[in-house]
Amino acid sequence: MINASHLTKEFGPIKAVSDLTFSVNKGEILGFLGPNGAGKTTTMRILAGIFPPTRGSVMIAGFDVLENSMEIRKRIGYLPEQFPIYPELTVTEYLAMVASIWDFDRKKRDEQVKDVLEKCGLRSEQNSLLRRLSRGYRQRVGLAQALVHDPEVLILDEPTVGLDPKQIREIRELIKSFQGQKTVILSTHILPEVSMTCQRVLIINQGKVVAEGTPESLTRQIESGAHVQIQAQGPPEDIVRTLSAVPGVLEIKMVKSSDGREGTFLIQTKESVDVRPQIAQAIVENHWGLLTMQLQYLSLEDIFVKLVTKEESE
Amino acid sequence: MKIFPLLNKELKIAFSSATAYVTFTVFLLIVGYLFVGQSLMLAKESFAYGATGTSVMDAIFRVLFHDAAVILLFLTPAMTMRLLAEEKRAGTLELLLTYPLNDLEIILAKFCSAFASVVIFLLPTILYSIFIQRFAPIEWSVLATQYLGILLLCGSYIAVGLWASHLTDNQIVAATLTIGILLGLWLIAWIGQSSPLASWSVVLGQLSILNHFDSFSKGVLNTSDITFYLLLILFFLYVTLKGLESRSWWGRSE
Repeated sequence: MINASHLTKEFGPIKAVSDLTFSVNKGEILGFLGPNGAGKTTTMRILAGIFPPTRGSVMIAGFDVLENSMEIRKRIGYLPEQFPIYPELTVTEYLAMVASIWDFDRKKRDEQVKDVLEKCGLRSEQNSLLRRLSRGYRQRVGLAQALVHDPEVLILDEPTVGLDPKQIREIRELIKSFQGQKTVILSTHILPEVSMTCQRVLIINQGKVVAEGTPESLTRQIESGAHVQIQAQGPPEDIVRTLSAVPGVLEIKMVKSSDGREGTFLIQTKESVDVRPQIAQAIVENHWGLLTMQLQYLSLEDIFVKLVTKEESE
Repeated sequence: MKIFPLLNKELKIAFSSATAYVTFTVFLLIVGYLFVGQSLMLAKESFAYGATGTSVMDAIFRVLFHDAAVILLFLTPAMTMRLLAEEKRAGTLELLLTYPLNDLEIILAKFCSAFASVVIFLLPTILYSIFIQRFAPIEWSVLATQYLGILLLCGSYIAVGLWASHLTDNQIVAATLTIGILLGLWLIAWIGQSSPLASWSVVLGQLSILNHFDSFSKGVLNTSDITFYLLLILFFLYVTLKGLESRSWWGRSE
């Protein structure tokens, strides 16, 4: 449904997105995960046709975003980050304005507005001024304006940001209910959010894809392969040689040594093998001193730790 | 046409803020004050010297429309500053650009909404002519020309204001820039009258936005003056459209 290839967007000297390639299948919910400033919003703005990419192309539903912008706009619903409002309008006035832009006749328009008010739980607030709405309700109005023309594709930029846990759950349920009917691409910087709502995840950082897969496979990847860092007393060469022979160890590197008697070593292990007991045993058998031993995750987890703020438990 | 939902929205927003009502009140107070003053002056003169042959069109309305033109030069920027600057600041423009609207429709809706506001401002002034008609004959064709002139003039003010509003996301900057440009377009004729530039005075006078209003205020329909205003409006709408289409105003904001 969505095919982005080699997307690059430069703002002067800054590369916000560089050579990003991905695709989303029909009816799929894709999570776009990355820290703030990773290029998520820029990518979504390109998809929504707000500005063109510097290089690369986007096809949505078979239309090119540059050449058939109008056709694409008819097929997408876009919720920008921090949904902007016209504070002077009421919820119904606003949604009716958006709906009339979609060329519905009056009757159809009123039906669509009513329908979307119902879907997004806005019935009780339909006559409130937008500026009087709480953040959660504003976000629902944002979703409502993206849904009012019943688009095939939804582009949601941080749909749950700034909401309380109850509102987050409601919005997530709403998004999940689109699975199979609409193609959804949503961005977030919260890891559990994607595992709860998305079928596939794309992790991006500094404008590049760093990992891709189902939430389950990514989680497995993170928890398996790891580094073990040890600090031991003994002749470094002997330690390296002995520990290389331990089954499950792929590589061992000395990171730091002090006067040839003590050193810090980084041991890379095979996926899903915990070698810590064997390492400890080998050191004790050789009568060296084991000072510290620590399990360190592989680069993917490094990425997560650096890039992705863990959501506080609800 | 998809302009109407947008136009409807613009007018709703314009008349839900204090700006429109304050501008409206200030305009009517000043114009009303000038109207009363001008009428009293004429009454006193005719009482002292008898009927002098000066028509009310010359003595009252011509002066009044000239004053209104200057007052509106300062007041229309208050109506236009919001148009694009505020949508840019709030981020609502980003959303508008994802709807199936082309940029021309957005610009025309903005222009028409400001123009409609000005028409609403001017409507009550029709009462002046109805009032005067009880004492002296009104030349309705002259009055119609005067109204046409002021509408064209205000259209130019609005086009300049809309252009200034698309440059920035700050309403004050937009308003100040608009007033600056309009004052410049007014006073440009004055420098032409100074001696070193005397040979240019005709050209510079032709550029002056208020000089072209003279014929209208006298009740004379002059094609070149109408063309001047229409060209000015089209020019500023065109550069606004090009500016909006280029999206170059879009900074990185993430």
